Amino acid sequence: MKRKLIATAIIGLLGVAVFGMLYAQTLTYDSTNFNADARKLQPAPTGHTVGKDSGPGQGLHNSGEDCGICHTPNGKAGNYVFTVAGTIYEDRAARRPLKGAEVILQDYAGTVISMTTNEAGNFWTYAEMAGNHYALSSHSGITDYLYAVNADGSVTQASPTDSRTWQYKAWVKNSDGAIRQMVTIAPVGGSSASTARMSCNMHHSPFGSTGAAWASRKNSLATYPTSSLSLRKHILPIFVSKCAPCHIPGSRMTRLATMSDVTTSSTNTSNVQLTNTTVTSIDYSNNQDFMSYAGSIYTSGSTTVTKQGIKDFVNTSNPDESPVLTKTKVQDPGTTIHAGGSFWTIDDADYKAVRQWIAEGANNN
Amino acid sequence: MGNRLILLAVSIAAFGMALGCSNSNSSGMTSQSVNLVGSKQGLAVGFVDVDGDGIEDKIVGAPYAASASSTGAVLVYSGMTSGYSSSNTDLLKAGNDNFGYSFVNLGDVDGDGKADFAISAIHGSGDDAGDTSLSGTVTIYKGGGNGRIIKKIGGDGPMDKFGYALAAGDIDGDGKPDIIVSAPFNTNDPALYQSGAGYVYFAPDFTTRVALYASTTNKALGLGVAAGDVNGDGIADLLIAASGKVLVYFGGTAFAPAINAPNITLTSTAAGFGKAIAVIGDLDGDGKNEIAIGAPNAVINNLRDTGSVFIVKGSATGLVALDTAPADLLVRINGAGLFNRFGASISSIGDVDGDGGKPDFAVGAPMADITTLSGQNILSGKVYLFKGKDITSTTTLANSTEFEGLVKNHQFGTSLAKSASGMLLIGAPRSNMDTGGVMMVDPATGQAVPGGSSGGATGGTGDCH
Repeated sequence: MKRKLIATAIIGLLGVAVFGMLYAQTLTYDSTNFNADARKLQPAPTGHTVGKDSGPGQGLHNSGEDCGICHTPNGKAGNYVFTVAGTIYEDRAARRPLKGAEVILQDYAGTVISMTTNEAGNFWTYAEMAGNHYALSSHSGITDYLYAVNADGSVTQASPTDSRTWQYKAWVKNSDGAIRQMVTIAPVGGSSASTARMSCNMHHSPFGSTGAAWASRKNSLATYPTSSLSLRKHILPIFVSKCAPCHIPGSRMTRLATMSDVTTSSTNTSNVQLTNTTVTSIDYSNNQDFMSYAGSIYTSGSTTVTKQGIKDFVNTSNPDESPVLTKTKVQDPGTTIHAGGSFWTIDDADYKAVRQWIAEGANNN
Repeated sequence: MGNRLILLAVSIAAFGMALGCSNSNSSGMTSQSVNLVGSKQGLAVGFVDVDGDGIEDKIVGAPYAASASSTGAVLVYSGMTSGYSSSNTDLLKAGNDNFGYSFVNLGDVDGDGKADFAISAIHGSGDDAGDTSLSGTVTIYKGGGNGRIIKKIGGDGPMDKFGYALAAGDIDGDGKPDIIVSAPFNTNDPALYQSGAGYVYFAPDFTTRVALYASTTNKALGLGVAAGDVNGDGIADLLIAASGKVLVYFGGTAFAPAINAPNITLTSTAAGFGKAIAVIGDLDGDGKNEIAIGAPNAVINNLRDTGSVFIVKGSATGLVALDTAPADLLVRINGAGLFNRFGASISSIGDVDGDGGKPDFAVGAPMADITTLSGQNILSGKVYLFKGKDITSTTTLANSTEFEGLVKNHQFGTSLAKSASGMLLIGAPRSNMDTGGVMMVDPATGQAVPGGSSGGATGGTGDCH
């Protein structure tokens, strides 16, 4: 009996060890899984000095503008060429800038870059960044292969000085506990090798299609009633503020870019580029449209995208277990369960308003 | 290069730093003070008689002014027989967040002989009924009413940015000016997510409206709007920007435009085409007013955001592709260089030079650099004054008179407005850590107007590499 118990215990410990190893494997982030899908739940790196890579100077001007127009080679501020720069706000509407947020980047080699935002919400860095030498560059509908496939099927890496190969995963942390990460793996460079640098505001600007970059537990509306919540008046503003630009109608595809996408074997002679363009995309909306109550059907040419809406992710019997609430709650440090980050606690007014609306039946009112 | 009038003549002392303000009257307007650091004073500017003394007051939008309850304010500087008060005499706050983003002098809506006006809050709480939130709000005020509100109107959905652009004109020909409101982030169809909308709300009650929603062929609707009589029938027409187009719908009784059936479609591949639109008056003497269209992001000689302005004949009809230099295009004027954003703002300023009625107009290039004795002031900004008599098919910047901003990152010329007496108010919302400010000049003489300048420019540029 005793031997049986010991054997069981040993098997159990082995099992735990194996599980632990497997679990540890899933938490290993390196160049082999440097793509949007594998990194979507990667916790923000820790252990570094916060703000260590913030650029010099005051940088209080032109918040929300495309920094890369001037701070680029041959630009008006061509003597101050940033690697990455942008502006963080309290909310997607960009009503007020967010001071003191930490912007964290992790490059292809695992190096962590940390910046903090100033009074204008601005951040910028000159830090160098490691690149994925097998990257593709997509711009204006054109895919540019930065590596070269040789006649014998071998692959020649892209130039490490080409900023289009410099890729990073990004997070924004606020002192109130909110943390939001960028789903895509973005390149620093744009359409050409020598002229572009990443300006986050190029896309994440107050008047850009995605709205401003933000990270805060701040309420979407100043006040809410304690009962008789309205979807139109109270709830949709919360979802439009917090759930776009991911959970919107239509296609939200992002291309994966990783060394593992390129087979460097000499036997691979013809399909390297095709594989990269057709297989390595994910829908980061997760087929959900939270701009609408019942979801949406989007048709563009021959493409039809059908998405679920808010009503499909509520639990009127147990509102606190509604996915629209649980997925986005602030988690323990080092834990990530939502690729779009976490931005409220059960004590926050936005959370309470949505919870109350669900408790009242989640009506389309 | 044209004549160069450096506005150092403007009293820099009067353009002093303003870090906070509050209203000082007891008219029922809020008495809450606001912090003007980062407020972007001058993003919207204008003139209207708020206090009812019969003299136009100076209006300065500060849509990012911070207060405990909301963001945004409008500062009112009382007009006097000579100039304007040196500090704000009133402070308007309504409609919630980013109040003061746009302003329009409507003209006399209610027949009391005083011009009424409207101010937008692009992230406001919606209309009087309160059934939308965060859609944007446009608050319509009674002129001379000391802040008395006629009506609040709101957008269709959250973050539509209802009130992004405003214009006024008698679109239905009933003798009362109507208001045009754009909401460029409106979504009326899942397939047209954030593709925009434009609305005409009819005076005097502003309850009846017509809506133009984006279509598959007309997206990015509403980044610019204007109203004015283009076809010479005495009734104001509606002009609204769509992607690569400016759509013109002729006004008239029972005005009911269809988005894909404008009376005139003006097209160009110039980036940012239509972000500024103005009906500037009759330049060619055919009895029809010309249209000025800014394309501030136009790439010229491979230099991005150089910017262009197109002057188009009011007699144009149907589809007009301006890039082919058609007969309907009087002239295309290009900006001076990289990232100047020439054409970001346009304002008719009347007949400044008294040449017998040919209208003059001003164009802003808020990102233009200024060369000074101490170096280059990047993004200081310029305003170019064009005289109607000088407009020909070969007109360039060299035919203009320049007014220049004072310091780096001033972004002088972001907004423009003309007073009834012909003075030009110029917004510079980025100076001094986005505190912003305005300057006022007599375009006929280049001299500063007493009390015309306000806000912050002397506290540095916020840029210190």
